[in-house]
Amino acid sequence: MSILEVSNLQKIYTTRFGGSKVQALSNVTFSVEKGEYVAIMGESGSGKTTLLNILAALDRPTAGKVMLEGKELSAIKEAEMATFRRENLGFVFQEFNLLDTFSIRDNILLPLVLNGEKPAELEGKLMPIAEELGIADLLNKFPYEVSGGQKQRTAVARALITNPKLILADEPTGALDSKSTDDLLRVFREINAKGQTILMVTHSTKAASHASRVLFIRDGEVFHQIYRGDCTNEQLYQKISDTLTLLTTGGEQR
Amino acid sequence: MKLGLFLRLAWQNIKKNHQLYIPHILAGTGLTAIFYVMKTLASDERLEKIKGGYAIPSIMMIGIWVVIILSVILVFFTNSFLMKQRTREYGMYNVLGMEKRHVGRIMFLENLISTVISIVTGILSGILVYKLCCLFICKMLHVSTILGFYLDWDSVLKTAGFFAITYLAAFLWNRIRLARLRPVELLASSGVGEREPKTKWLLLLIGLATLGVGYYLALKAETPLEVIKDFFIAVILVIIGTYALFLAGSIALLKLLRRKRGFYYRRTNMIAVSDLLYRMKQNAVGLASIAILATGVLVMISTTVSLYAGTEDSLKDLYMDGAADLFVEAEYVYRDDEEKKTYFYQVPEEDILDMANQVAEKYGTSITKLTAVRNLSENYLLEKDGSTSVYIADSSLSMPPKNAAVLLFMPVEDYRNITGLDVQFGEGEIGWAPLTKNATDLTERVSGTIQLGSKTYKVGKKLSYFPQSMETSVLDVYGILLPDIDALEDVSAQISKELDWYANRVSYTYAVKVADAKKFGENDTEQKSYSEFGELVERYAEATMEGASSHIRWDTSWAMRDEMYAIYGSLFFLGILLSIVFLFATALIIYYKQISEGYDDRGRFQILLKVGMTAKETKATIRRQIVIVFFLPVITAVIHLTVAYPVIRKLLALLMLSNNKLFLLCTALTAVAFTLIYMIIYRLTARTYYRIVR
Repeated sequence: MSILEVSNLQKIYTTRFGGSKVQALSNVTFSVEKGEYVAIMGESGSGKTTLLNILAALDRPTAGKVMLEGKELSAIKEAEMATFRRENLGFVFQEFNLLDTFSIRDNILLPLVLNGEKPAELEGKLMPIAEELGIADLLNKFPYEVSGGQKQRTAVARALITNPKLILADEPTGALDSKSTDDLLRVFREINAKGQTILMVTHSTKAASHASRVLFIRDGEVFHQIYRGDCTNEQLYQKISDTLTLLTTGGEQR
Repeated sequence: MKLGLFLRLAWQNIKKNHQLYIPHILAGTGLTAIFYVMKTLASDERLEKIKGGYAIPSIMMIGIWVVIILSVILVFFTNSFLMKQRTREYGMYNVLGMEKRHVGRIMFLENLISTVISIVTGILSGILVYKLCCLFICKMLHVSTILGFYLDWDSVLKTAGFFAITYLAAFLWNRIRLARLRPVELLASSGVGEREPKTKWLLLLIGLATLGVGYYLALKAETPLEVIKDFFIAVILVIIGTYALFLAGSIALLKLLRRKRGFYYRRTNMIAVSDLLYRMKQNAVGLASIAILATGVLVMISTTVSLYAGTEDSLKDLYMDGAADLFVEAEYVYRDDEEKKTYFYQVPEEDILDMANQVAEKYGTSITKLTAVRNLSENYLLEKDGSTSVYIADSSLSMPPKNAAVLLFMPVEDYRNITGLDVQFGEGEIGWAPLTKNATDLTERVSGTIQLGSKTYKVGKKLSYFPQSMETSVLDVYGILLPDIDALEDVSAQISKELDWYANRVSYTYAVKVADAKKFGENDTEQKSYSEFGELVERYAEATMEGASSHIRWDTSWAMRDEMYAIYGSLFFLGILLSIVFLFATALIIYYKQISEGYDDRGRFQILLKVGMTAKETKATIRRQIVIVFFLPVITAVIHLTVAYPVIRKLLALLMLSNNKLFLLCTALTAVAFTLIYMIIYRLTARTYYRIVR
């Protein structure tokens, strides 16, 4: 059963005085199955971020619809939107977006506290995740005291703690060194193996080569997709590379 | 050519940063205007000629010093704030290829422009407002208004000079800082994560101790001597305590709250507590300053208003509830050189009445009633081994015996005459009244009987009223009614014998009622009646006894009224001017706090939105924090004022104001008015804040 269905998505930005129009997404259609690990690739300006913002319900499409577990996002009222996002979606950002006034522990617990969970139950939910992500020793530290990789793992823990239906990751490796990138990708593989659905936007071939399916976006449309099948990471990496070369040299659509 | 370019750049920068520069220039304008007004009031010779106008210059000079100190602090504060906010911009110039001296030149021109605008508009508005101030001050001093335009070039020059030098000094300070910064540092944004504030335990202890001792001193001070001595120390301790507790106490408290899991991990508390922790770290000094300034405004306005509004009440107290308009005392002093003795001869009552009448007629009225008050004052009653006796001491004795009390004597006949109360006592009984608050019951103190002069009296009825007030005494004071004048003379004789000293004689004070006291008030504007009466007495003394000098007292309610209105009116006016300055300072600190916090909060706001809070919730938590931070200083100020209230009341009693209800009313009204103004400032600055955050 598909957990996310995106059909005929279109987004047009109009400049403030209505002068020029910019088409960020022209016609995007795809779906994500439960337990899938999908990477969306594309160059800067291809419409990746716009797509992610619409999926995250931070922005609304001009046309088309997004269904999460059969529920249409645009049908949700503005007032319920924050709760809906908190309960169904987990976010991981390139810039971590941790609150520097919070300790690592409090950053992870924030979504639970916002959901109004009882203070006594928090620790029980926190510890398994923190241990799995290897940040159990850092819980009392503050964001400025830990490395970038540790910050990103904190952000992943924050995204996971509410058991979201879908994790949306926006260039999660963009601000990390290569070792931290490897660590994070391993973490994503592990949580995906446990059944977590992940949708990741990236332009790193390496990051995408860990996914089970890779979608390519160009000029606001899904241009191509590759299934992992039985490929190893290296083989998938090669396939992605080839596709990217084709993409940049201007091949015809499928 | 080049200068033109720099000038244009500087002007553009000011325009671009108008959010920072407008308050900066407004505050400068306000300070300059008030400084000019005070300086001119201190030197306007027209004011010296009005009744009571002599008090204005010296009182204004005190104010000028306060304004000077505050202006220097504020100018440096705003300049360093501007510098901090614009460091990145200056760094950008540096990176784009300008040398530091070029950046320095732009900075200088920016400063020059804002300084010139501040000083010029400040002085111009000062000149305009000055006329209004003159009208107001004349109204308050109850004199006819002086009209006409007044411009004091000396004040203009001094005002401009002072502010030019202050701004220049602030510029040089920033210029040195600019020179020391490296381009990378100039560019480095404030993005480096703020460190978590540490609890400063020592500072917390110091704060608790100083505030505790300060409050204790203020609350404990009983006698006026203690009040004067301890109040100043208490003020300094409370100021130190306020700063220390804002810095350390707030953080300790918030950390304690954070440790309470059940409280902390709740939707509304979690973000508020940890954000407040950082807000307090950044703003503790500013907030403590606001609390101190607010307390200053409240104390200044409530006391000066009370004194001013209570003038008539104080006069009533001083002049026996309006039973007297004038006190006269006249005697001549004769010295017998061979025996080295001094004798006093009381001028007969009719002759005094006659002389007083002569003066009164000169001012268009006459004397209607003359009541003699014969009394003896300042003898110490001491308890020795349970027995009592009269102990005589020099009234200037600096360290009186510890359990001594002061007695004032009056014959019952004079008491009846002056108060109109028909009090009766049994044979060998005396009446008494405590003249200081908390004086022990006299009957208990001397166990029933008291030896006065050659006789022993039974302590009789306690009187509800005594026509003398001694609230300000360090020792307990009692008014004693003796059965008759002989008893008074008897006490006097005994004292004189024991002491061989003239001071303890029966003195004759006449309380005089004037037919139309207003006439005196209107016609005796330069207070000449005192010396005119003195001359009459002098001539009388010469005619009746050779080699005698005169000893007179001529104490009028109208001269006293003028004096009180002059001093209290000027103080009130000064209180208003200084309060405006304090409010400027408060508003500026708040405004800049809002701006700098606004930029910080914007980032936090965005993250909270992404993590899954609604815009509404986020706004609500931020507003709650701001309100807490905002009203903390006002609440602190009100607490300080509440604790200081009894001490200030005692201080006012020293200044002869004993109308407590009036003072309470004035204090409450001042607090309410201040809170309202503060809220308006909050509304105005909050708007800028939300514009930044959104």
